[in-house]
Amino acid sequence: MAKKKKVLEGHKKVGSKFIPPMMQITPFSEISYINQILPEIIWMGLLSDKYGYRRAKELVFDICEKAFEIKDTDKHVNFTLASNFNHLSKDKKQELVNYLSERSTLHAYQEALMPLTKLYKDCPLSFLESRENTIDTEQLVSIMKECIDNHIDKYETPSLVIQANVVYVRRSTGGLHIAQHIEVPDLNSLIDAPESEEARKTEGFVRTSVMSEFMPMGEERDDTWAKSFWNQGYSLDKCDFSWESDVLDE
Amino acid sequence: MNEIMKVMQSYCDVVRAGMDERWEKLPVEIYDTETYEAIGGLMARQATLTIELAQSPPIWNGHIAPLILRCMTDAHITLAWILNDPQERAKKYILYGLGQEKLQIEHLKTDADQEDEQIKQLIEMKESWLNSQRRDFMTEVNVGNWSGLDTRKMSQESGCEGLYKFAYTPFSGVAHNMWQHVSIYNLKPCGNPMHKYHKVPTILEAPLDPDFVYRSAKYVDRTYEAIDEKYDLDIKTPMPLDYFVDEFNKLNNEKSQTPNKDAP
Repeated sequence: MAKKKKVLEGHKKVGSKFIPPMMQITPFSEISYINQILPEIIWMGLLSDKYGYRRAKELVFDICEKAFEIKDTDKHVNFTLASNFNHLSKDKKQELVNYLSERSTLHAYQEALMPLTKLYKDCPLSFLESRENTIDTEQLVSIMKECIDNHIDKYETPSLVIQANVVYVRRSTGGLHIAQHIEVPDLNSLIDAPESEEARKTEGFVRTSVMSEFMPMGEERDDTWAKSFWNQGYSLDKCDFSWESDVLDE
Repeated sequence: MNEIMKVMQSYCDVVRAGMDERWEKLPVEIYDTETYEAIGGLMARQATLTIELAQSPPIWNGHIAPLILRCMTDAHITLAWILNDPQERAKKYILYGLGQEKLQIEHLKTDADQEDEQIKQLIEMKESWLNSQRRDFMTEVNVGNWSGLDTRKMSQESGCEGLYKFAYTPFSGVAHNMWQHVSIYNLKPCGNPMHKYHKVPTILEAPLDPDFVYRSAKYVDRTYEAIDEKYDLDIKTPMPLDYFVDEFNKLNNEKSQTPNKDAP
């Protein structure tokens, strides 16, 4: 006969609380993918939605590697996180714009990132804002909504791909040190064969690495942009209860 | 609905008759009148709650019915625990109640407007009720649990831990307005991704469900059973739960045999 499972097995009783195994590890701070991570990486989602994963990946690597190259600090900075562009001076941002312009890719960024740069105040990527107003606000809101919807589930391929960019850009800029005996999973498996065993390994690697990217290491994480992104989103569009009529129709 | 209400009415009659028959057959010892008052009072409380619920279809929903059911599970655990040592525990139960009333009177005397005639009358009435049972200067005020145990331990000692786990605890979430209830019954999700699919306040139209009355029948049934077992009572009135289930089965059978008038 199978051994009967105990209630709250593995939990540790502290006073009147039962602490789950993961939370017994100290120090452990909780990071919310939706609250804190998504606003920082959603810009890559806009690129993916517009140009597809592969082209978007090229654009992401190009801008992030260049920003890393021209940054003023010796510290490692991962520019896949939007807020990190705030660490670049005005001149450096201009240098980056000039670089993209020379490579004739500036327009690609400007067009894809328009929902962020036009709708949101204080967006860290606003230096890429286009002077053109080719898309009306309603359309921009609609694109932004679709993009958030595509990337809000951290386990789905679209969000895994932009999370993977965070890790692989860190690696390409020399910020990821992995022991020699550990084989780094292939990022392309997420796109080429999302159901494969290789993709499963990549997913796990990516999710834990992104979480650790957000763990405060001696200093508090700055959530200013994340808070601003969500709070502004609330005033940009009305609540949607269209699902209620769908339920009534059933 | 009319047919359901007829069943509910006859169910209420059975609950009432069951209570009366038990009280009649209970070997009441007037020397220990308090013991039997506590037991009889709690039995009547259970009967009242199930009757009130059965007669009030508008509250057969997830907003209100669990409040009644939580109260019924609490009443059952209290009674079952008292029945393990009726003399001693019924006394504790009563003294705790008197202490609570004394504390209430003290609050009224300290914080309420003493010039207000209605407050004066209320204090007078409460003092008179209290002193008719025990002089207030002899009444202790206990601000802990009346039994000295929490409800979980009381249920364990009374053989109704399952009731505690699977009814008392979930219904407590409703009674204490906890998140597990409020997030389902008082909030609805917004489908806008830009709003992080947040939830907004709503007054939900919860469906009516006679199953809530069925559950209350189970609880009054357990209470009646506990009294019957303790005092070895031979009761002729049908048990509330059996009656409820039989009548509903009959109703369902009648419905399935009724020819469809609109059929060709």
